[in-house]
Amino acid sequence: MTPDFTCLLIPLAMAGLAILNAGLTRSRSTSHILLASLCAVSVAMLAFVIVGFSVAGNGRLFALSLDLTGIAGPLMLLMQLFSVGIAALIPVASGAERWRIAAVCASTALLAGLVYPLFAHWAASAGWLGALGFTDAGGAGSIQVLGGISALCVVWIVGPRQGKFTSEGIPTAMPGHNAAFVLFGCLLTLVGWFGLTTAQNPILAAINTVLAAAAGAIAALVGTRVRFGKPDASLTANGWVAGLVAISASAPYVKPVSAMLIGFVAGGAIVFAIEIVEFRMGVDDPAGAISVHAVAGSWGLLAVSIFADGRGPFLAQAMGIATLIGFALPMSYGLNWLLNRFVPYRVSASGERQGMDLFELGAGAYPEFVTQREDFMRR
Amino acid sequence: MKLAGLLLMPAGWGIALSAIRLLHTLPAQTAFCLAGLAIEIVGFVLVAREHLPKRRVKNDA
Repeated sequence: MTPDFTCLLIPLAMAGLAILNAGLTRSRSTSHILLASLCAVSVAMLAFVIVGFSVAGNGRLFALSLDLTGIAGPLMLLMQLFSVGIAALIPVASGAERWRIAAVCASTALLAGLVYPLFAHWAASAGWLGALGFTDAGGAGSIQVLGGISALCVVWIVGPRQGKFTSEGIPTAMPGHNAAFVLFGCLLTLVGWFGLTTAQNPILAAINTVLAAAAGAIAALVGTRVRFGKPDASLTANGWVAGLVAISASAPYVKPVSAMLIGFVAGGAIVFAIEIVEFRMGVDDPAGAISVHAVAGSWGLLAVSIFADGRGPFLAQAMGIATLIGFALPMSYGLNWLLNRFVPYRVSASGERQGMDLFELGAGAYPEFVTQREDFMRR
Repeated sequence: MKLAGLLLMPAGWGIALSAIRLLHTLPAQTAFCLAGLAIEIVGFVLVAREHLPKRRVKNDA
């Protein structure tokens, strides 16, 4: 797949995801999560150029072997830089409110320098997965599922937020502080997603991307309305993104009606997946990133074999998912576990109570407003 | 058990990889690949169980 200049839209997807994630977390850590997002994207891109480019089999360290005279080579590097940036953003959302920025940067360097390039190399047409017929047009596997898997590993290591689970292990609600950020972030993400999906058959891919997002949002809206009595704004937003994630793999290849179905299933599934991750697995994921990216991305990979005629044989797609779970997950967990020994992931208890903005950055995002009930409630 | 789970996952992947390499018929490859995936899921469940929030046992005495 040769990327084109639409990949320049992808930073809008990064912006959308960052603002969406900020809206889903509490106000005491807003600046921190946005700065962590910026740092993650920056470190990811630098690490990829320095090391990952070579690990991905594209040439030498620091991309020194890149042919700068043509367009194809630099465009491919640009696409990969943006792709690894998006993958790096996903764990930041899951570790929000307790994952230190230094640890974010260190973990991202490993993700971008080692884990992502390995899988991306294998999944490319020249790699063994690609040779098997593995099809992943917009990075559902190499970006979304890989990002979701990394997010899960980070959350397992960093642990839940204080007060998230009661002594009986029951999760408590910690709603996001700004629904406007969440919903605006969705719309911004859509525009950026065109950069991921429209390298081939751009018009069809764009139609499918929009339809999948819309179907995902409606599925989540109806699902939450039926399940909880009222529609939930944050889950609907997650449904929209889940639709985008799921269609990433097959956008240029499927019919529009299939895209709607893919998005609908993804949006409906994440309503339950988020619940399972929180209640059954006991994982504290403030932005629902694990469900939206890993689960919907896996569905997207399988959907290629179901809906895209002549592409992505089931065996190849299953092998891709098996590689992500069987190789990327243990590798990511092991690397993050080891890194935690040298660069502590979790902020101190007092720092978490104070809020990451004040503790790590020295200034809150909303200095004119009281953001913590402890500040004005009598004890 | 966490370590066992972390080892089961690449073991399952190894089974799936071996199936692709050593078997020649599509149904056999698919069956063993799915078997490898199932083993990976068992390993994943083992690791996930080790990360469940610790529940404090109430002392009723």
